[in-house]
Amino acid sequence: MKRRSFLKTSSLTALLPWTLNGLGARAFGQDSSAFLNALGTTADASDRVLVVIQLNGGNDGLNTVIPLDQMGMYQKIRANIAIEEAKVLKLRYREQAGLHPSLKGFQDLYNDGRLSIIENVGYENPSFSHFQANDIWFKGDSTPNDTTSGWLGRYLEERYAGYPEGYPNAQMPDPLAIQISAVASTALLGPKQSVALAIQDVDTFARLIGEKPAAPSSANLNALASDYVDFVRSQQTLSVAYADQLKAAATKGSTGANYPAGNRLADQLKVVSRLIKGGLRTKVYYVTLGGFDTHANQLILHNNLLTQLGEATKAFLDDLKTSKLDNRVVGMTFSEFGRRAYSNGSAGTDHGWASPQFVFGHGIKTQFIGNSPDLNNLVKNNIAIEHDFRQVYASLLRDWFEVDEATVRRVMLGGDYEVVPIFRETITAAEPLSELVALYPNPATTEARLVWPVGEELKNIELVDLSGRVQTVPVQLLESNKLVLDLRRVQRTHYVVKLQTTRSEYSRKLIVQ
Amino acid sequence: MAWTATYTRPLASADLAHLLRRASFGPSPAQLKANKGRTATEIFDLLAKAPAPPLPTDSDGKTFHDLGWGAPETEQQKRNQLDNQRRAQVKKWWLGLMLDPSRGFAEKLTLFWQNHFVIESDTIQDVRFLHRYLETIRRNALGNFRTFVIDITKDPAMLRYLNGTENTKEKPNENYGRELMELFTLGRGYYTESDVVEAARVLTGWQAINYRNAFTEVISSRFNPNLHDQEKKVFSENFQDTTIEGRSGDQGGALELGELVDMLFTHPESARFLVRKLYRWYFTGEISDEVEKNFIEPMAVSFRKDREIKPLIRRMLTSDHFFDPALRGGQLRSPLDFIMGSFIALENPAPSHEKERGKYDALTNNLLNRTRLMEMEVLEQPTVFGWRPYYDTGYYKIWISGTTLGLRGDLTDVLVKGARQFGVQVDTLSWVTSFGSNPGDPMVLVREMWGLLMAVEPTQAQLDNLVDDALLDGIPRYEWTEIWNKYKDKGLEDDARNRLNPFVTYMLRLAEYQLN
Repeated sequence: MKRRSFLKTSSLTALLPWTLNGLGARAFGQDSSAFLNALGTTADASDRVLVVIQLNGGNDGLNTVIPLDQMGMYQKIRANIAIEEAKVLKLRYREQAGLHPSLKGFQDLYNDGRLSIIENVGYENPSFSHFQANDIWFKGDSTPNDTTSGWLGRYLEERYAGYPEGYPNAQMPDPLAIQISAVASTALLGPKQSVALAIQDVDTFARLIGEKPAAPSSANLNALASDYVDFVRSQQTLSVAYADQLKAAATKGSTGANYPAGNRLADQLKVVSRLIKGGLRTKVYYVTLGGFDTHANQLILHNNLLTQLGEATKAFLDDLKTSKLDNRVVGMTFSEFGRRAYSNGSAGTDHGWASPQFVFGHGIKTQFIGNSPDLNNLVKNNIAIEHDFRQVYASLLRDWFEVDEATVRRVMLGGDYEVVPIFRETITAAEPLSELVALYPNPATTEARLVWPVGEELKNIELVDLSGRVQTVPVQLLESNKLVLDLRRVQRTHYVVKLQTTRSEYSRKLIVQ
Repeated sequence: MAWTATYTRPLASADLAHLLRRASFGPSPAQLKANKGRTATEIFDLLAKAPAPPLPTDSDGKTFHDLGWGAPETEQQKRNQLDNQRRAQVKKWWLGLMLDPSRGFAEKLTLFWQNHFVIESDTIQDVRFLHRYLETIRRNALGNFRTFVIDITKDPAMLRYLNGTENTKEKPNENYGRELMELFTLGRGYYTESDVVEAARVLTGWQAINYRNAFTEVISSRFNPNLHDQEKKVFSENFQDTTIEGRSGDQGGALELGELVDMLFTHPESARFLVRKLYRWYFTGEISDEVEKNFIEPMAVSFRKDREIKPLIRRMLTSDHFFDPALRGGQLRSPLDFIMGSFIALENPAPSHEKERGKYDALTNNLLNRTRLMEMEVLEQPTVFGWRPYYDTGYYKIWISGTTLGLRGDLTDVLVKGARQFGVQVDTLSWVTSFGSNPGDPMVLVREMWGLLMAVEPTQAQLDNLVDDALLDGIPRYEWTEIWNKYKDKGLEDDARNRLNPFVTYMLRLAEYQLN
């Protein structure tokens, strides 16, 4: 399968002076300096967790991330549901786009560097059918193939070979994936069976599941019945085996206090947070928020849904942050399709093409990927696709789970999808000029000093090479606004120094000779 | 094997149980007895005779026909509350009907159609619309499919659910037009996007009336020619470029709708589509090329002639193929199969709707909560596609997870243990007497109980294990005979019951019990 040319992030590279491709999610490594440790590090890849939020029904992307650069056209094509410009929530360093007024939670996360927006995601020849479109997203396959596994199921099967045979075990004592539901999503179907444990209520699970009956298996059954009996038995065995782990985690993990009430998504994320806090090593959690099929009366419905989405996600990340577990978690939203750019006559929108995806949590490096939808170049009233959804999947696998390229290709059914820089450095023209900081000498040989405005407290400092790798260098704080980087052991090449203070972010090029 | 030929032999006990499992929610001991020696066709004709059900009533015994949607002076909030209660009442009433084995066929078929022409009660709100929709389904369940499609298209609840009521000449809404083709008649891939647009235009002007109107009890739908697109509509080559002429006047909408449905039915997929869907409901999920060629296609060919539903289902459920041993246990029970099937097999009927109203409400309310947890709440499908196990990858396996197995086991535990507040009370001793030819012989008892509960045959090793370990826990078999005789002859129940209850609980948690 060849990647389509239009999927290259050409618009991005054209916009930027230069892009650093490479791994950015790793921060400072193992340096023992007390100063560096205090900055906190990203969790080791083996502890990392992905939370997937499915927005079922087809989310209206154009009212979720609003194109502030095309408000005239926007108002014109959806007068009956357009969001007033004054009410659109602003994004830091991004004037071209803003968020739906109900997404205050997402605005906070964005402006705090914890949210990335990937614009205009979809795939070629989009399906307008809820079922088929969902199936395509679940399976990561947009061709009419007979794929019977989901992308997350394939990934976890690669990582935990042979599952469910021999699981749980010492290396992986916990469920590979957990869905807060009674039934698991197709996305979590492995080649043999679902890799997820579907749980509604962690408190009653162990009691309900009881003991596994010990009777001998049926023999001489026809193929269908034998497959079903084996499947049920394996579900019984796994559930009984996992029940104690779950109970222990649920007992140990406490529920954070600040979740919004009456929020279906928050109710699920609350359980996820509790299990993470309880020490489960489960890699993937899957939650769902339904009701996005807004063919009519969209303003009220969508407002309610996005409020739930924003508030729940924010509360979830804040809860993890309080427990100092936020560096283990990223989340991704997806919806089977976006909606028509033109609204319909029922103050709603019909099924459409592209919509934005959100990735939130730790290690986000590029916060806005792509451009606002081009409303002057719609395709049959639909928003054109800029990114293939599998680019987002591939980025999570490559840069968050640190899966090697060959494995990612297998999980992507042989497709080669260019990674988008969610977790990679890009220096965007929109960032503030760094005249307020001084970096000297430059070029440097053994050390370089960095000075920033007085009164701004240091939050983070990174030395990033041209392939995006964050280098481990000893750093010594000289004064409250001045530090020295020890460059004796780094390669002689070009770097970017990225400085984050309590007030701002600065980046400067640095040449080491 | 002649796939579509009628299976004419009188049904053996296992065949009979199979038919009752698939055509209804499973066999009761009494049904197995009463239908001994009958052929599949005879039994089908008996099952299909169930009379129309009584109307649901509220706790004062009033039906929906007696109640307006809140008097005009009723506050909005009060009206919402009333609607919420009454929508739940409709669902509970339906679950109550499913518990009646004599209605099993009718209710399982109604469920099929409710899962075919999906609406969600949550979206509909107004309970009168919900109830009227169920009446539309019941009226047409065994009737003519063309009439059914037309009736459901004009049904006020459907007009609201898929936005038909908002579909007008000036502001077309494609929602219903698309699902009519994709989900109700043809399936994906047999129409174009422009067909969706044209179908939506044909359907402009139909409106639901008196939605949440507190001043009248009359709810209905009507065609408003002023809102109808009266230009001609042209379809793609999927339909031989058919043109439907634009019509004016009061009858214009009905004329065009009839032509639209007829046009959809010219597509050969239209008959196959419904036959396949029934196959996945009554037979099994995966359809092989062989089944497609030898069963689906011939059934579709005869259905295409008249679109009569009853003869189609009759042919399917009385065919040689239906009784093919390779299909035994070829389904996993759905939550409703499981719940209703367990009640029916254990002969625990619903408390009387009239005489024990409190218990009846408590039981049906409890069952409604259980179906919600197991994600098969009636009238609340997650999407317009219906429940995933009837179309999605993995099919019935989707019903089964650690959680749902736990919930299922919890239900059967409660059934055996009893819960008087719900009117759940199974006396296992009289239960085994009701179907057992010789319950004093532990092997005979266990084999017959297996036959009633399980869709597949046991092995001798399984039976031995069940008798010696699960029932008798190591004591010699003759001791069971003594225990049983003490109960039979002297009325000493305790020993027998203390062995039987945990054993039945155990049987109902076996993997094989999940098969259908």
